[in-house]
Formats: sequence, C-alpha cells, structure tokens
Amino acid sequence: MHGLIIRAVELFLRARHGDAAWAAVCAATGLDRRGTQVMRSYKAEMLQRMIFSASTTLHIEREELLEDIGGWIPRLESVRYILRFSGSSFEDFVLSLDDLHDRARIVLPGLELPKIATQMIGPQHYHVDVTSDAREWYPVLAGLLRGMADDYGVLAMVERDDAHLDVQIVDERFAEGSEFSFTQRISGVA
Amino acid sequence: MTYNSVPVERLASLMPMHLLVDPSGAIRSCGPTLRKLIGRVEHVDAAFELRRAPPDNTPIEGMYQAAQNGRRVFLDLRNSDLPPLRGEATALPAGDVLLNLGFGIGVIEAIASYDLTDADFAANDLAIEILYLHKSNQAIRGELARHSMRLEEAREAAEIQAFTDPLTGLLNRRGFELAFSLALEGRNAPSERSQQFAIMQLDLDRFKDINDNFGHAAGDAVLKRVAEVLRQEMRADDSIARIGGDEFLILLPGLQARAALQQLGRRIIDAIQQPVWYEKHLCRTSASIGAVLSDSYLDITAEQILSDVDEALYAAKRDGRACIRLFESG
Repeated sequence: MHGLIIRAVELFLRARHGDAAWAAVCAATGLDRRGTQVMRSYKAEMLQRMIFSASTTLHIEREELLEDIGGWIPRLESVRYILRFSGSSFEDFVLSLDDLHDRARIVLPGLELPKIATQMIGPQHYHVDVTSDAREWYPVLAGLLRGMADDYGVLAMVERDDAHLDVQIVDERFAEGSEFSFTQRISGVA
Repeated sequence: MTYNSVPVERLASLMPMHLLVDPSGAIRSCGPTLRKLIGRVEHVDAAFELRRAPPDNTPIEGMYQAAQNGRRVFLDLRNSDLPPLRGEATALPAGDVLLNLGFGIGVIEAIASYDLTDADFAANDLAIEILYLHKSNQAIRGELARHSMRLEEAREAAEIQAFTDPLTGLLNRRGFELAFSLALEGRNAPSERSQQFAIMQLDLDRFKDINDNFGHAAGDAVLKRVAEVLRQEMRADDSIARIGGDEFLILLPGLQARAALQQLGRRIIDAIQQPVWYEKHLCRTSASIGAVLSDSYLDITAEQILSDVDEALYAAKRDGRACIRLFESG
C-alpha cells in the first residue's frame, strides 16, 4: 500500500478526529504515531486495519468513514488544486475520472488508484463505475464527488445504487464555488 | 493571394493522428501514427469504442455529435489498455468528418507500447517533452527515495542507540520512560480500552562487593547475566530497562494478579542467585524487588507510581533482601 494513501488517512484522522483518535489507531495497527511516511510502502492490509480500527474507535460505520475521507480530500488545498486540473466544469471533472488511474500512475508509480469508467446517462446525469477490483472506493468517490461539487459551486446528487455511483447535476450555478487558476501558488500538505 | 479552401489532404498531412471518416464510418484517411495503433482496420467500429458518452452510442455517432456541438470526443482503442484517445472533430462539406486525436496522459505508455519516436508527433505536440519531464522526474524521485531511506535508517539506528543501554542491550532510562508514558496513557484511556500494568524495580544485593573484589569486568559479566535472566522470564510485550549501575525497572502491561507477580519475582530472584563464573572467580549475588500494580490507584501519576515502587524496593531490602515486596496503598 502506497504511503501517500496511508498518510492521507492519517491526516484525515488527525484533522477531523484529533490526536487521541490517531494515537488509538496507531496502538491498534502498530503505525508510528509521530507520523507515517509518504514515500514508503506499507503492508497491503495496513489500510484495511487503519479503517477498521478508526471505525471501531470512533463508533462510525465503515462506509460513512470512507465517505468522510472522500469528502475531506478537497479540503487539502494542494490536492484540490490538482483535482481542478481535470475540468473547467464539474461535468468535465466527473467524466475525466476516466483518466484518474492513468494520471496517478504517471505521477507516482505504485499509487494504484482505481480504474473508473464514466457514462452519460442523460442530460447532466452520469454513471461512475469502478472497474478495478476495489469496491471500497465507491464511498470514497461519493464523498469526493460531493466535496468537489461544492468546490465547483454545483448542486449535485450523488447516490450509490447496485452497480455504480449515480451522479446528477441539479443546479450548475448553485453557488459561487472556490477560486481556481492554473497558475496559483500552492504549498505541500503532506 | 488568398485561399477560399484548402484541400483536406493538405490539412491532414499536418496531423499524424488524424482520422477522416465518411458517414457510414468507413475510414478514408488515417494519420501514420494513428495507423500504428489501429493496424489495417477499415471501419471505426473495428478500431474504437466510444467513451464518456451514453452507453449505446456508436463511435461514428459520437464523432458527428462532436463535430456538431464542438465538444471533445473520447475513443477507447480496442485491444489496448491505453486511456481513451481524445480529439476534436469538424464536419466537411461532403458529409465526411475530420478528427484530430491525441493521447492525453496515455502518451507515455503509448510511446513505449508502439515504439514511437519524435518523428511520430507533430512539432507542436508536447509528447516528447512530457516524456522527458516524466523520465527525469522519475530519476530524481528515485534518488530522493534512496536518500530518504538512508536518512530513515540512520534515524532508526540513532533512536535505538538513544533508548538502549549499551552494556546489556536492555532499554535505558529514556527508553523506559517512553514505554512507561504509553502505558500510563493506555491505563487512563476510556474504560473499554483501558489497560492496567505492573511495575517492578529490581536492585542487585551486594553488587558492589563483586566490583570491589573481582574488578569491573566481573561486575559487567554479572549484569549481562542478569539481563539474560530478565529477558528469559519476561513476555515479549514487557519493557526491561537498566536505569543505573545495578538497578532495573520492568514494565509489565496487562499484569494485575498479585500472586502471579509474586511468583514471577521469586523466579527471577532464584535465577539471579545462581552463581556466575567469571574467569576464576565465582560471583554470587541476589536481588531485591519492589513492585506495584496500577489498579491500586484511582488517579495515577508517573511520579507517584515510581516513588511507590521505590518504597516497595526499600521495604524488600529492609526485610532482609532477596525477596519481593508489593506496594500496598493506604
């Protein structure tokens, strides 16, 4: 498991649930509570163990926790900035999830983000399918899509049905949205 | 001189990834680079699958729509793992459609898979520049990763050194304090996760005599032997430290039974009483142990528990040495 993902979960837990929750997860998983390392590789099952112990410690359902993580990702300014490269509109952003896997592979070999296929079902209505064998990405993606809809200032409904995520744009100019320009300065988070 | 129109072949010659199709989807012209990807196929349905589109639309439908609404069209290559090709389309007077395609982020993989070179791309295409950036970044990242790995190893080694007693390989006082503070936190955690622990403080009896009579090397040999005994008697989770000349502290997470603690102390003392040969000298020593259980406290502080265990050790010494005494509060 790539350190970047482990580190992201760490940052989420510390930011949202505090250092005590993080300490409890470290005690249960054997991670170093002083901080995980972005550029190293962790055991394959480490992510599952983190999610399991965080969900137990915090009394939050696993799916809900994963969705919170997805929704929190756009709050990291540097990640939000990169995500906004994917499209000038929320629609473009959704459809360009197709490229996520390949883009991530170029940026960090070994990162292994899920393979995603998008379809247009109707006007401003999309299906997002995870085609790689990683179903726990569905709630993360649902949270991420909601968070990014906010960022674009779009009102969107994101529902999980049996086979895919169903994304519907209800109001494309719902709110102001966050600022974005290709040339803005960003600093690291991790 | 002005042109009213430019023959499509002249335009197409500038686009090594172009595709010219008629309304039935037959390929009328295909750029040499794109040809390397699709082989000899003559119809777009054989080469492509339409992406980011309604599920049953065909590639040719997608191309005409793109020509109409000015949006981009995304075409998955059949029999390939590359991400979809993408491009813009324009309708020609005869009803044909001209597309100019590109690789997107798949360009790096495409260059490797199809053995493409600089000559396969238009001069305004940044493909080779992307590859250059990617490869150089990869090399630099590799170097940085190696460097940070070395730093990490050095940090770990320094940390082990900082927390270890070099003579016995047991923890030193700082190492013990670290383990002890974790144990205190664990004990003060909310009740369902709270874990009790026990502390033992051990002092060798008349250790000074060995040093005085047989020399410090003999004393060191005895200390090493005691460390060995402690390692054998303790569980993997226990933390054993040498905190001074002949003084040891032991943290036993999860241990709460008084009888078990007494027995353990007894076993340790018996083992330490086995004489040790050092060169021609038979070195004899024994040990006194003070112990305390965390469940004897309501509110617990590090200072209190360490002072109590010290008092219990003093009681063991006062009671004739070679014995274990538990601190009893109140």
